[in-house]
Amino acid sequence: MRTKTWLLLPGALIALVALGCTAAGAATPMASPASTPVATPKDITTSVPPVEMTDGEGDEVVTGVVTDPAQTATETYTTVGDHQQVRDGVVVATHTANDVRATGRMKVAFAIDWYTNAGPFWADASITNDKGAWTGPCTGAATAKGSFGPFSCWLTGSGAYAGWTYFQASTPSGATATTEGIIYQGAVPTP
Amino acid sequence: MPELDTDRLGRTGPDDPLDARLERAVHALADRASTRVDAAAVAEHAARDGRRFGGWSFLKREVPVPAAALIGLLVLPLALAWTLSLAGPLQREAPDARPVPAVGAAPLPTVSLPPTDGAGEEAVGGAEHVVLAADGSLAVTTDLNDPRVSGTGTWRFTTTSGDGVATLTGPFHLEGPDGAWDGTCTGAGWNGLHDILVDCWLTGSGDYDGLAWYRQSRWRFADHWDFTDGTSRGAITPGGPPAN
Repeated sequence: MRTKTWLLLPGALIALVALGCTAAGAATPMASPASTPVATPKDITTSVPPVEMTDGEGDEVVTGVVTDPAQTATETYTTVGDHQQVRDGVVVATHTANDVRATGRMKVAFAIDWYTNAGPFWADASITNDKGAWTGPCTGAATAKGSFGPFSCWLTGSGAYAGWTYFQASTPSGATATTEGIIYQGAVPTP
Repeated sequence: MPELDTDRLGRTGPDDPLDARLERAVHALADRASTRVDAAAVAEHAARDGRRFGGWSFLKREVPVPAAALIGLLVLPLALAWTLSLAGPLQREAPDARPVPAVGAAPLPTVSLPPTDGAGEEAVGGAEHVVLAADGSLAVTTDLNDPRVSGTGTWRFTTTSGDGVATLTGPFHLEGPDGAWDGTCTGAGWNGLHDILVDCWLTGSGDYDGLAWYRQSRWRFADHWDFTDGTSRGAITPGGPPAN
């Protein structure tokens, strides 16, 4: 096992999504007159300790960070009753983890039903690198208008990762989104 | 010193055995030794410096040094045993005492959200306290920023273990002040299940009918698995994500 220790890099996925939402809001007027506010991280406090690299094999506890976000598809907003349907937004970013198998280009195609203060969030996510890919659904909550809230994904491996599953929980904090979870051999658990 | 009483030595001669002569000589020397005790001098000396005569006071009675030391030796292990036997319960009863996290574990991130008005959809989060129940379930007490999701709950889970990690899934039920929340929580555990990360979509009932609660919880147990401080964050929303 390699023992290289590194500090997690700060990410800006949430801020970028917020900017994307703002731009989309300008193009597609919403019920609320003001533009979509940026993420409000002030209400969540997190700390990220140094992480030790895994050997990239077998079952592992995986932590990571999302950086370099870019929005490749701007979401649409449709007011339906007491909420706005946010659809078809796509964000790509770099996911850097303490396990090489979970490091790669991350893509999140998301949707939100936004009410006044919160709303459900769901997405299809993938992480791809030159050895294989992880793909699967995510669910969570949007807790600030125009930004992601906490969510988790059950990602199924393909390519070199076939037969493996990556459970990943994401936590936004300011301009940083950190991830934590496990890679294990087997399928997604069913109740 | 009295003079040696030669009469008591007796007659010596060839018919006087050596043993008998030695015995008489010893007795004669013993008789010459002074055995007088000046009681007044002894009392004065004792009053001047009690410790020289072993006068350590204990309950206003002087005891000799060896006795005091003996008492100390007896009391010390008893005190140690008493301390060890009571330290655990005392620590658990103290309101601020918490078991020490597993060795090497970093502190969990804290979650602090402003209080809600307890109505409608809200971002919710805060602290959770978890105890392993006798039946293997986890008893969860939530202390979040919204009264609707602050209460006591139970998570009955099954686990599938891998190599140092595990998946966990099972039904979760929490009683709030005016209703309940039910659903399935699924997630991961590691570090001998001392670290647990799960999330759930729960459906409200009672006054919470028509609401859903997404919660993502992170718990870290202490070495003895009987208590943990944890956190959760999420939201109360009018509905959850579409079913897959």
